[in-house]
Amino acid sequence: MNAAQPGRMMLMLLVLPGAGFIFLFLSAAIAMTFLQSIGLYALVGDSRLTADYWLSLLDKGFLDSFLFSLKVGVGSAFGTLLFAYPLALFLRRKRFGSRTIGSIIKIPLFVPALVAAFLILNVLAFNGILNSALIGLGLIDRPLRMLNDTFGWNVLMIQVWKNLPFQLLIIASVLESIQTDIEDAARNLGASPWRVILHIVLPLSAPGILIAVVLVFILTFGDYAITRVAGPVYPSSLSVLMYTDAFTLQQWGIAACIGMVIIVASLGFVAIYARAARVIEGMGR
Amino acid sequence: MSRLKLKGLTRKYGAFTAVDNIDLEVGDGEFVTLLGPSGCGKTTTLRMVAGFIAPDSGEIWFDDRRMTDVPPHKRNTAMVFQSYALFPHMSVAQNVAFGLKMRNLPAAEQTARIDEALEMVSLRGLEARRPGQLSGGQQQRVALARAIVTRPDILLFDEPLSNLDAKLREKVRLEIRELQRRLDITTLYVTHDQAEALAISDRIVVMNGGHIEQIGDPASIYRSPRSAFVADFLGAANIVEGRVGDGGLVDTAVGRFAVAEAPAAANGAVKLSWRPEDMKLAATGPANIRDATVRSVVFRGNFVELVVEVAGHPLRAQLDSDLPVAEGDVLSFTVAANRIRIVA
Amino acid sequence: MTADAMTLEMPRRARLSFGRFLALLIIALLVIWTAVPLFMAVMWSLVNPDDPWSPPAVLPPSLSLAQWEYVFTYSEIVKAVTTSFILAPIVTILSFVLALPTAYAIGRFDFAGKEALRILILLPIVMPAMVIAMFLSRVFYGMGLSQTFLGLVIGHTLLSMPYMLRILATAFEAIPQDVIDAARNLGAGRLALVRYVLIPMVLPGLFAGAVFTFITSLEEFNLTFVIGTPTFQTIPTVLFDYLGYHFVRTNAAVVSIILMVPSVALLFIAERFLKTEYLSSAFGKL
Repeated sequence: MNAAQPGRMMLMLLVLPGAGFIFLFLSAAIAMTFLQSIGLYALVGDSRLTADYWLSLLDKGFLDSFLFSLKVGVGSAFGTLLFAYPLALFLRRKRFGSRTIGSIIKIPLFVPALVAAFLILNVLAFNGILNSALIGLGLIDRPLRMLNDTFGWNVLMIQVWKNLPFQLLIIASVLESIQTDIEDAARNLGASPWRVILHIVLPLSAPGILIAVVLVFILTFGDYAITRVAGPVYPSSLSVLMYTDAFTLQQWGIAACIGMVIIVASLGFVAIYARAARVIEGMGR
Repeated sequence: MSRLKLKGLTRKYGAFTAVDNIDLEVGDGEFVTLLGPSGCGKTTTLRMVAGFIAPDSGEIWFDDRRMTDVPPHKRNTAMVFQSYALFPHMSVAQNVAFGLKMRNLPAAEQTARIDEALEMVSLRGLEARRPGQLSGGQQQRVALARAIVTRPDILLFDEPLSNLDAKLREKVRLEIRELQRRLDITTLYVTHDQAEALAISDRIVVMNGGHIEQIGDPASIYRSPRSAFVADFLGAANIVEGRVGDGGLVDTAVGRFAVAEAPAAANGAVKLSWRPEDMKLAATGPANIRDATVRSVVFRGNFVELVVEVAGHPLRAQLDSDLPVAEGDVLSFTVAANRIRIVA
Repeated sequence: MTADAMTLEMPRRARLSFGRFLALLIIALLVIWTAVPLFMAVMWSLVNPDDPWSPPAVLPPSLSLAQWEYVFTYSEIVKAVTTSFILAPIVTILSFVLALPTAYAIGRFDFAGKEALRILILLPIVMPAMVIAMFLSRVFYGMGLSQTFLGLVIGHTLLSMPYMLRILATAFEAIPQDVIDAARNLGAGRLALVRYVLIPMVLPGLFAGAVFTFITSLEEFNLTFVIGTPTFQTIPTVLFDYLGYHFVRTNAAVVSIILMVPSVALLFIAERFLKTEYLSSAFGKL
C-alpha cells in the first residue's frame, strides 16, 4: 500500500478516535450485560454473584421466544433470498428496464423499520388496500383478518419488504465480480443458461449468499421494534421478552441473560459472516 | 464442403460498424488466422462464430447446417479465451471435464478423454490442482485441454498468447499448431501479432475497419500485399507514390523503378511497396535510389535498421550488422523489380 | 452434439421482446410492491375526519390536512422534530471527526489486526440494537448520563459512526497510490497532499458518509427509546407511540411521512454520490 507506512505509534493514534470510541462503549454495554446476567450491578436489590438468572431461562417462556426469534430470523433471511437472488440474476446484464428496476427496488432501503412496519400493516389492515383490492376483484366476499396473526407472518412480510434491497445489493455485488469470460466459457462448452447458473454462478456466488442470509438473520433475530408492533403477543421475540422483563417486570438479571444469548448468537453469526467475506475478497484476485 | 462458412456477416453497434459484410470459407482441418489491429472486427467475428454475439445480417454455416440462430451451448465449438477463463472453483480435472459433463458422457469415457487431453498438453499429474495454484503457462494449457477434449467441430482461439512473455509465446504457438495438426480440427485463430500469424497459419485473413483486406497463405500475403495497409501491417514496408513513365518504368520522388508486375496504364498514378530487407546496397553499377542520406541507425542484433532520406522522403532499410554505417553517410540502393509490388 | 439434436431456437427478435415483457412485468410488480404501501400511507394522512374512509373504497372520499393539523397541535411532534434535527447534525459532525483518522488508516495502510478492526467497526451496525441500547443505558445510568442529551449524542454516534467510517475507508482505499506518488514526485508536501489530493478525492465518499450517518441518526429508535424517553422525544419514538398503545392510523401515517421525507429527500440529492460501491461498503463487504 503506502510506501511511507507510519510507525506503530502513529497508526494507533490514527485508529484510536473512531475505533476506540466504538470499542469503549460497545464493550461497556456488553460487559454490563454479562455482569448483570450473573447478578452484579443489580438495579434493584443487592448485587451478588449468582447463576440463578441463567437457570431461570430454562422455562417455557424463554424457549418459546427463542424459537420464535429463530423462526423469524431464518424465515426472513431465506424468504428475502427467494426474491432477492432471482432479481439479482435478472439485473446482472444491463438490459431494458434494469436501471428503473434498480432505482425502484432501492426505496425500502431508506424506509426506517418502524415506518416499514406501519406501511405493511396499513396495507394488510381489515380496511386496507389489499382487502379492498381482493374484494374488488371478486376473489373474496368479506375482508380477511390478516393482522395480529400468531405465527408471525406480518413480521416476516415486513422484514422481507424491508430487507429485499439490502440482500439484493450484496448479491448483485458478488455476481458482478464473476467474470463474464467464465460464463462464456461454460456456454461455449455446452452449458445451457440454466446449467451455467447451476454449475458456475451459484457456486461462485455462494459466499455472497451466505453473507446476505447471515446479515439479515442477525438483524431480524434480535429485532425489537417490528416484532413489538406487528408481532403476536405470545410468543414475543427475544428482544421484546428482554425488554418486558427489564422494564415491566423489573427483572434485569433475567433480561441480561436473554441479552447475552442474543449477543452471543449474533457474534457467532458475525464470525461466519467474516469468514465468508474473506472468501469473497480472496476470489476477487 | 467447407467446415465453416461465413456469408455477408455484419454487426453494428449504433453508428459504428464492427464487422462489415464478411465472407469467408474455412476448409476441414484448416488453420485460419484473423489478423488485424485492435478494433478491426476480428474478435467480434470470432464471437459471432461462437454464438456469443448475434449478427445483424448474414449467415453462419457449419458444414451444411445453418448455425446463425443456434445458441452458443449447442454449437459444438470450443474456445480458448485470452484470459483462459478457467473455473476458479473447480480443479484442473473438473475444468477439463466440464464440456464432457454438459454432453452427458458416461464417467468412464470422461476419465479416458481427460487423461488423453492432459497428456497431449503435458499436464498429467496436476488433475487435482486449482487454477489459482498454476502458473500462467499451465493455466493456458488447461484452457487448451478443456477445449480439445470435447472434440469440437471448430476450435476457436481469442488471442491466447497475449498474456505470455515473448520467449514463451514463440514456443507455445508452435505447440498449438502441432496439436491442431495432430487432431486435425478446423481452427479459427484471432491475433494482432503478425509474426504469430505468419508462423502458424494455413491462411491469413487480414482485417481492417470491419472488412477483409486480403486473404491468402502467409507467403503470398507477405510477398504480394495488395494494399498499403496489408503491406505495412505484415512486416514493414516502404510505400512510395509514383507515375508510370516510358517503357513501363515508374518514376517516383526517390528514384526510378522497374516493376515486375505490369503497371496498369501509362501515365497512370501508382503506389509502390517494397520491404526494407529488399533494399540492397548498390556498391557499383545501376541503382534505383541514389543520394540517400542516413538519418538514423538502430542496432537490432542480427541486422541494422536504417532510416534514410531521399529528396525529403524517409525510407527504411535493413543491412547486415557487420557493415559499417553511420549517420550522415550517403548511400545508394537497388531494389529488384520482382520485389516491388503495386498496392492500392 | 449432432445436427439432429439441434433445434432451432426462438428467433432473436422474439427473444428480445420476451425479455422486454418480463422486465415490464417485474417493474409493474415492484411498483405495486413498493409504491402502494407508500401511497396508502400518504392517503391515510390526508383523510378528512368528517368523511370516513372505509372499504370497499380504494381512495378516501375527500382529502384534508386535518390530520396533519391534529398531529402538529396535539402531539409532541414539534419538539421531536426539533430534537431529531439538532441531534442528527451534531452526531454527523462528531462521527466525521472521530472516523476520519481511523478511516484514513484503514483505507491506506496494511497492519496487523486490521481485519479484527473492521469487524469491530461493523458490530454496532449488525448487533441487535435493543440489547446494546438497554445495557448501554444501564452504563449511562451509572454515569449519570441517562435521560441526557449527551447520552443521546454518544449513543447515536456509536450506532451511526460505523457507516461514516466504512464509507470513508472505502473512499480512501480507492485513491490510487500512483496519484499520491505523482503528487509527491512533483513536490507536494504532506499538507499540500492532504489539501489538493486526499480531501478532493474523498469528498464524494465524505458526502455519502454524512448522508448515511445523518439519516441513521434521524431514524434511530431503540437507543433513543431507552435512554431518551420520556425526557427527549425524536420522530421515531413519537411514531412508536402511535403504533403501539395509541394506534391511530391517521396519526401514524402523518408521522411516518414526516420521518421518511427528509431521508428520501437527502438520498435523492445524494444519488449522484451513492454509487453501488458506497452502498455495498456501507452494508455488504467486510
